[in-house]
Amino acid sequence: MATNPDSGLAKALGLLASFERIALAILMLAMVGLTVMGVAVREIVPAYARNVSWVDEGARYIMVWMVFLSLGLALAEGRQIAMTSFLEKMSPKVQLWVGRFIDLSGLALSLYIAWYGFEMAQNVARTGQFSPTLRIPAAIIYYALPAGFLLLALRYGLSLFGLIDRRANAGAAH
Amino acid sequence: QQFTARIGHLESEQQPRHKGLVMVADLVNERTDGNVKFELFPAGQLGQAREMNEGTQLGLIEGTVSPAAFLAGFNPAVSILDVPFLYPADRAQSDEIRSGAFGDAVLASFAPLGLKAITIWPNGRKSMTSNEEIAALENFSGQSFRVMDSQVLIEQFNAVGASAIALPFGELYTALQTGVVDGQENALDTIATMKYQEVQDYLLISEHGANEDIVMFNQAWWDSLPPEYQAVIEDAFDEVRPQVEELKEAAQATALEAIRASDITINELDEAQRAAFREAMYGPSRDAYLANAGDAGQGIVDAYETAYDAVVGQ
Amino acid sequence: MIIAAIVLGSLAFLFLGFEMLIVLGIPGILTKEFFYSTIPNIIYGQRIVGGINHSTLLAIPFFIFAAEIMSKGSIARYLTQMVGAFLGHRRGGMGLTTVATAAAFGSVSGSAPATVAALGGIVYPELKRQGYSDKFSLGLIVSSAEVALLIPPSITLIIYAWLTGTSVASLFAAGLVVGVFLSAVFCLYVLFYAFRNDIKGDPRMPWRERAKVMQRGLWALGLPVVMLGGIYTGVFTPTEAAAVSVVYALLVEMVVYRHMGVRDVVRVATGAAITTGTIFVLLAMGSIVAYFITLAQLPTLVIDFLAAIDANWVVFLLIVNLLFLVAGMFIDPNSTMLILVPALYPVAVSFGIDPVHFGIIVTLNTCIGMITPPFGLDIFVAASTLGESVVKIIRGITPFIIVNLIALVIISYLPDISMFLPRLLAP
Ligand code: NA
Ligand code: NA
Repeated sequence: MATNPDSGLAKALGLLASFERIALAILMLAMVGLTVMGVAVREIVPAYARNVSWVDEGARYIMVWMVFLSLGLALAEGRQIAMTSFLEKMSPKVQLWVGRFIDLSGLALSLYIAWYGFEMAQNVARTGQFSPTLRIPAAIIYYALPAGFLLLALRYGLSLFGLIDRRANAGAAH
Repeated sequence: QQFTARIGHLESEQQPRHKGLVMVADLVNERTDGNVKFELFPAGQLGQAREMNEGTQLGLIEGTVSPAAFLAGFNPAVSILDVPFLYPADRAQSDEIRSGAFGDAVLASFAPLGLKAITIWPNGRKSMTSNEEIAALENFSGQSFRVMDSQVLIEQFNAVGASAIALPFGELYTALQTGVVDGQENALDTIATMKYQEVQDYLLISEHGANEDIVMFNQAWWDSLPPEYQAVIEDAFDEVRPQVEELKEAAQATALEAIRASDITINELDEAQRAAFREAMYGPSRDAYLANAGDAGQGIVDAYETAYDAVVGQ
Repeated sequence: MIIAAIVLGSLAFLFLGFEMLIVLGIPGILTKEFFYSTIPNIIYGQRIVGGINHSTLLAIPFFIFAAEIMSKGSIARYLTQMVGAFLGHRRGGMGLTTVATAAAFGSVSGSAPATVAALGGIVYPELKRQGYSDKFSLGLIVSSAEVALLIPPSITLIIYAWLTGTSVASLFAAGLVVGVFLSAVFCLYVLFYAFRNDIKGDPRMPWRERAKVMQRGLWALGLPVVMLGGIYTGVFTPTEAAAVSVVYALLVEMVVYRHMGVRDVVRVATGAAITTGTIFVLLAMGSIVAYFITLAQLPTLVIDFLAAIDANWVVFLLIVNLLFLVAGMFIDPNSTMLILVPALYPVAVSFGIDPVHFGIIVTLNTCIGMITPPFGLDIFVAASTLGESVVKIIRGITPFIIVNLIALVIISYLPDISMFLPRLLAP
């Protein structure tokens, strides 16, 4: 069902997944590092505590980006949460069609959210709103939506056309 | 034609801002023969302050009443209201400054943002609590205070040798209890509601900062209203403003009684100390404001200092 | 009519095996399109991001990360060995340990999902090894974590205090008693289960071996010591403690035990990020429908209904319970408080219910809402961190929900349990 591992598509997807994995690891470690650095500065050099008052906001921005960037990879690895027990009891043919219906809905929903997420980000960018302590454009947090939901849409689309078998991967991820 | 405004804000239903909004909603409803309806959503039900401000700007909701401190990211010019000792202790003099050319300049600074800011509501004065002595200016050195995310507020504490730390409101009680930070600043009724006196040793009734609320509507929604309804709404907010301040002052008085019943040590700034605190804090905080607000800020500071001198006298 | 169609449609999607993020997202979008079509569609962008853009949520990814480091490395093994050395021979020892650790950890983290994430991976294999069934173990882990919201410090109780002006200290005192009471109820259930299913402990370990286990696990033991010590001495907040625990675990695994290399760290960090994402996307998507429920002023409708049927306080508390169980299905605990408490509190006061008692009732309700199917945040956290199916967890949790409901009835109708400590402490 899934594509030949030597095909160009499979290689490209493998490369994308590697990028996603590394990006997620960096974001996770940065979030931890920032928070601990904030504590360290406050305890060791309290006079500089005001210079790191942006740590909480920075960690939150990273968290939001990390969550949305993980969506596509999580789907490809069969890790998005679903109640599949009843589906698994049905005949393979029913499973195939229900599976396609799910992929189609998922594709539509993720494109829909990516679209309006992008529009939201553009609107906020236009108003020139800045984040309170980091003083970076507030729109940055909203650009995580189109980025993340496009990665999710890609995986739903590939699954819909039988180019990846995301359900076979379930369990293997653990 | 019927108009409905969904108005969100952060305070709970027991607090003056919400009570004031209920009064305005009734007045507006009555004077427009029920054609303009306000639906109120207190307690951050529609999101955090930043989200409600953004929502008002983008037309997701029609209005919000936001503390000025939460608006800096939208309109750096508004942070003038965070500057400590902006208003004199006298409430009538303060209202003269608030409702005059200075207030108008602050409200006008929202015009390019798609926000119709119609009035400034007073929401009490901030005082300080700490687990260390804070009776005099020289006590502050080395202490740490929790502030809202604001460059001006950070500078206010920095100016007296203290450090400012941004912590989420929900974590503040525990942070004061365990000593992550030494102190905090809030209006007396907030202090009493959150029972900070249970976990703090010293209160300084400093009234150093004015909590000012900006009443804002989405510009497009506002423009869709017939001019007579706009006038009704503006008048209602102005009419209720003194009552909101009275409610707030009454809440502060009740709060102070509750705080006195605890074993916290209370000090109050006398006139000479107030002058010394203003001397230490006002200049650096104003300069921090100007650094962010630029030319627009300079115009507002000029309007402010003129009004202050005229009202208080030199 | 439309609402009924939306609810039935989502349930159909749920049972057909749609990803939960679709099941939660589509009803929100349909509700908006049918009832609030004039609101610009960019609202989806704001609500989805707003659903997770909270500082108080930061602790959850930190604890997920720390737990995955500890279970991929050796800290988790050493910690459970130490517990086992002292309690492993007692009948029900591991089950009781689960309840006690969840209470201790939950008290500092203040977050039930974080507690499930941090402890689940450590105690689940041990429980199974000692012969507890998978289902019982899952149910026990998920439900014993809920006391995190009751045992102080608790942000949920602080939010209630702010909304209603109730004393935080009194709420904390009441929360402590009720949290411990709830843990004790779970302990009784563990003992009942252990005796009925004849769960044998390990052989008693001689003191010399115990000393050896303790020595080997000293660095592992340092983790809870650093966390609790740091919080209670005011070095950091509970959220920051979560981040510190990650750094501590990394240092110990990489430098002291040398059981982890840089590649392992990257792999574990990626895994923890994905686990966080699969849980938080549900909070994000759920916040769409939560927003439109708020706009519809649903709690006000309930108040009108109460007035219409002329309810007494017993019926009132029953309706409060039902509301929170439903809301807890798809709204996070702090938002549930914000949406429901402002409407319900004045009614509670008018029935003469003490504000502190009412705060405990709604908090306990919120806890239970997080573990009741089909949507319950803690269920999904367990599914994602332990790699078990949602249906299996729900089956495991059902008896615990019954235990919880019995506890809820006792707490609701015997106010003295909540009130005796606050009364003792009151001046
Ligand atoms: Na807690
Ligand atoms: Na539930």
